[in-house]
Amino acid sequence: LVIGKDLVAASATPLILSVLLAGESYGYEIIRQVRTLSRDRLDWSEGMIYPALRRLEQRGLLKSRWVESGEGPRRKYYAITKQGKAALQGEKDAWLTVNSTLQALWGTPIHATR
Amino acid sequence: MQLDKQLAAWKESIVRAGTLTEEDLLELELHVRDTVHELTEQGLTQEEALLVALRRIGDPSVLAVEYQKVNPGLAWARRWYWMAAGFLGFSVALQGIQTLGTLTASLFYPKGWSFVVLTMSLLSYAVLAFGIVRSAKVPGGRVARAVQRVAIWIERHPFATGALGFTTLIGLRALTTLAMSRIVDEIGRVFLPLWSLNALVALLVPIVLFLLGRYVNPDENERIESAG
Repeated sequence: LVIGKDLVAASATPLILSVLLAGESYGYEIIRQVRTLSRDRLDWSEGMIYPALRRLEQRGLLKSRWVESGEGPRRKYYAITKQGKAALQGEKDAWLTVNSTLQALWGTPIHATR
Repeated sequence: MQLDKQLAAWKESIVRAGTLTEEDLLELELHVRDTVHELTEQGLTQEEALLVALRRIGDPSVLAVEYQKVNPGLAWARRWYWMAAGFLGFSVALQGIQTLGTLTASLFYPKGWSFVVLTMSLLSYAVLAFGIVRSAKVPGGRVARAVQRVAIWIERHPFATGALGFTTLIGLRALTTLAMSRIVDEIGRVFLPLWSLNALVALLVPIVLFLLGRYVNPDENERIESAG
């Protein structure tokens, strides 16, 4: 299964926002979580998440802070804002609409298969 | 450490695009280090791990373009900075040629020829500078590498570059004035033949430079001819 570049780019915003809804996190961890949940089928060019995070931050959907940790290296953590949660709701509605439309066209709910 | 060295080279390739802030770069570097750490724990050697990590993080030029959308001001600031630095460098080079020329000429004072010497030495220093610029274009050459090192230094030290540039400029200017004051009374006594000779040299400068340019960088078909 190959997910096209445009779809990967379009889904980045809802994916990032959704991961951060569970609590603040950093780029490396977000990517790992998305990869695990998609069973390695959503393959990001990893560096791309950082400009995406920056853009979401500029739009006010995220805020970030550097965290110094005693043992590990310091990391830049991102957290979702109130505005981000509102935006995620909008994204959710949009994606569910696309999804339900496709499912209606295809007859039965289709689960991704290998 | 080997890893640090290779990472530094990779960082340099991204920095050159000039669209990332220091913080962006640090964040990316930490990501690469995280990946390398994880992969080495899975049994890869550090070299293999770094290769995979850099491949995963993606093409630096693509990344740079993405970051440009986030930091639109940065690329412009860089462009303006290099324009200013280039102007300063050009002024220093021009002033340097003038200073060397007048200094050389003042050495020949008061034999009555310093004006001719001035013209000739200005010409030869200009040709010398021209030669240096040409050889800087040879990729991988010693001069090109030196220029690259200077460029990186200029990139990292904007204030030092400005201060050094202006101080050099003022110093050279003062030296020129000093040297000129020695030969200027002689120039006043210069005869018509010397002026004519001077005009002739001035006429020859563009021709010599043109011919030199052809010699150093011949046309494509000329190159093919000489190869055949």
